[in-house]
Amino acid sequence: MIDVTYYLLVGAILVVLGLIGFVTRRNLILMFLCTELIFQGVILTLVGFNRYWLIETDGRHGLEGQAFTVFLLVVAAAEAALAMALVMILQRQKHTLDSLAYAEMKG
Amino acid sequence: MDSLSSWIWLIPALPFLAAIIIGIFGAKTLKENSHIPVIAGVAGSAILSLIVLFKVNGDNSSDTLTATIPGYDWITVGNLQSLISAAIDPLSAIMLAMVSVVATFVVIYSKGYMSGDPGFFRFFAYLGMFVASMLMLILSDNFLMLYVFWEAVGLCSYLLIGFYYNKPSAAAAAKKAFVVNRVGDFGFAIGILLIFLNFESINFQEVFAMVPKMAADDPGLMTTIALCLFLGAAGKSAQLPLYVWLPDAMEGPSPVSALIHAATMVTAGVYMTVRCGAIFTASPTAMAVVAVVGGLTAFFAATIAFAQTDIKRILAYSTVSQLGYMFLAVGVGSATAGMYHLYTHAFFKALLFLSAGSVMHAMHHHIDLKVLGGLRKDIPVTHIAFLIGSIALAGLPYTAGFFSKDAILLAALNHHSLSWVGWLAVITAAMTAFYTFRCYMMTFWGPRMVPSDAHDIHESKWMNFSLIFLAIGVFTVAYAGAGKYEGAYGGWFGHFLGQSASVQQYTALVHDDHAYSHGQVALISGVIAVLFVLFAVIMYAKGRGFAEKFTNNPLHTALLNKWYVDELYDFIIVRPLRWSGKFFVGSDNNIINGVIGIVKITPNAFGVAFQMFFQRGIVSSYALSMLLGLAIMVYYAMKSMQ
Repeated sequence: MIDVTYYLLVGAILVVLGLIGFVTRRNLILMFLCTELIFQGVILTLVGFNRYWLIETDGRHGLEGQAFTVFLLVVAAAEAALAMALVMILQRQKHTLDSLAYAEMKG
Repeated sequence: MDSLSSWIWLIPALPFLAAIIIGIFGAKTLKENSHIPVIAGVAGSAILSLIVLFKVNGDNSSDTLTATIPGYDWITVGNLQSLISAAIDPLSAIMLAMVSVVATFVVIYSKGYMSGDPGFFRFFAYLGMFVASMLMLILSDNFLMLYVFWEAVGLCSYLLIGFYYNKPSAAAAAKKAFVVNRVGDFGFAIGILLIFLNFESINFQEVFAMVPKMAADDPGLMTTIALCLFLGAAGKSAQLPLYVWLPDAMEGPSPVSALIHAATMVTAGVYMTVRCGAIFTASPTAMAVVAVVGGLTAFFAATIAFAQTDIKRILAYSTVSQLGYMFLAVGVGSATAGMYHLYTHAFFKALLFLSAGSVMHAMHHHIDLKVLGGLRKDIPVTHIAFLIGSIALAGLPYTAGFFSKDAILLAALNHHSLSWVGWLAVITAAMTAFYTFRCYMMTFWGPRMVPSDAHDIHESKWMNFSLIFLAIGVFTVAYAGAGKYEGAYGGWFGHFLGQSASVQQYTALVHDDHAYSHGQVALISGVIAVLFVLFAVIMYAKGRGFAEKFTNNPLHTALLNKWYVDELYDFIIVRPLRWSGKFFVGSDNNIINGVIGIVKITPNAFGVAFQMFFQRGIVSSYALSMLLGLAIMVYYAMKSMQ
């Protein structure tokens, strides 16, 4: 029986890695992948909590966490499609994936 | 009086409603039919006003003579209580009847005069608004309501003087009228404030009841209040030194000159002075000032009227002069004579102005005697109407002006200390007779002169209708105040008006020991009027050649230029004000804006600094600041949960 703490720990590590990657990387694809990493961290946390509540309360709680996960996956997939399309357009504009190339869009 | 209270408000409401209807539907729907609501509304209020007059006349119980009909609780703040209430007494009943009846004929006339004008509906909307405001002014039973509608008639006057607003002279005249009236209204406002501060009430009856006690305590205060109020009256009624706006106001359409600048609005000052009889009579100084200013204005304006060549301007100066007579009468304590002259003057001066308008209509907007003359065969109805108005204004025996001017001269000549003003008024009467007939003779007799661009010389039937009825009115009203009634001079008019509490304040001042009897004064003024009318007729009968021999001297030039008063005012008031205006605009632009600029720079600098550090367009930097913000929020949220 794996303690819930480990789930949360792995989830938190994934989120933080994603955040660090998003802030430090300049390649648009990699930044996008980092957001996916944050997503996975959150999903893992949800699954971990769901499991914890199932055990602790002797099944008096349902599978809300799991259900959320499914929804989140759908949202993530939709977001991925959109984001990839945006990245494609940006790439066609400037033939580069460097996010600094778009710094001129500042207000 | 109960029956009155149910419909008294209809009197001002009908013209007001008419004005609203035209304001909404005039431009698109009514167009050339815009006169219908106003004629109906004003005629309706004329009929109602006459009913009020007969009711007040028929019922002599004391509550009819000073009835207050509550309308609407407008302002109540601390001691200040201003109700929109109607005060009905013989004084307001007479004024209501006069204003609404004259207004009826003027609006009917306007249909003919204004037809075809692109601003037709606008004109009638303003006119309806004016009549409503004027009637409310008369009905006022407290100073605040009086002041509000005093300003409302001023506004309507401004709009109507500047009716042809694309004509620079009309726009300037409207502005001048407004600004000069502002000087008078400033005094009026100070007077009202002083009244409120000292009496803690602005209701006429309450204030007037307290005046004797207050006058005994502080006579100087009563003089100050009375003089402040008189400054307002002098502005509105065009007295020295604020008369300058009225002659220029003739830039407005002629019906406006007839209604507002001869018959009704300009008499509001006289009405107010009579209404505030308790205050004025409490101060002999103020009374003397009123009488002397009135007498001097009458004389001064009459001298200017001698040399003018614009018919409407001659009439305007004569209006100023006749208003001076009214103030003279009030100042020497004969409010009845003043009101009687106001009443007859309203009819004959309206008639004269409408006739002048008819001349203008026929002459393609020319009104200057230099380019027209000898018109008696071209416009016969106008000729007769003008003649009737002229004999009344000149004061030929047994006409309206004769009776009312006589009453004033009698009162002035018999005054204990100001009889010299009375003699000045006698001289003025002679001058009036002369310049009136000079104007008449030059317009209708002598060789025929018609401006080259006047084709199709005709009279309008709408205009003739009003002229005929006003001419009949001039004859009729004369006898309201003539002769004896119940043993006293002043006729029915004097008897009726004498029942008003405000007028009684004045009549109480007058003593019975007469230095000059009625007969003597009537003889003096009658002979003078006849002589000078004959003089003018003979002088101008054969054309203008004889009279023009006298034009080549400095006096005539000074008169022609109105004693250079406008130039004097321009030099001592207008130009210094303009310079100071320029100075303040400069200091505003350079000094004040500079200070404001510093205030403006501060947030800008913050913005620029913020932009430099945080808004660089780098996605990861945005993400980082978002992350930091999120972290701070989570930190505080968790801290507060513990």
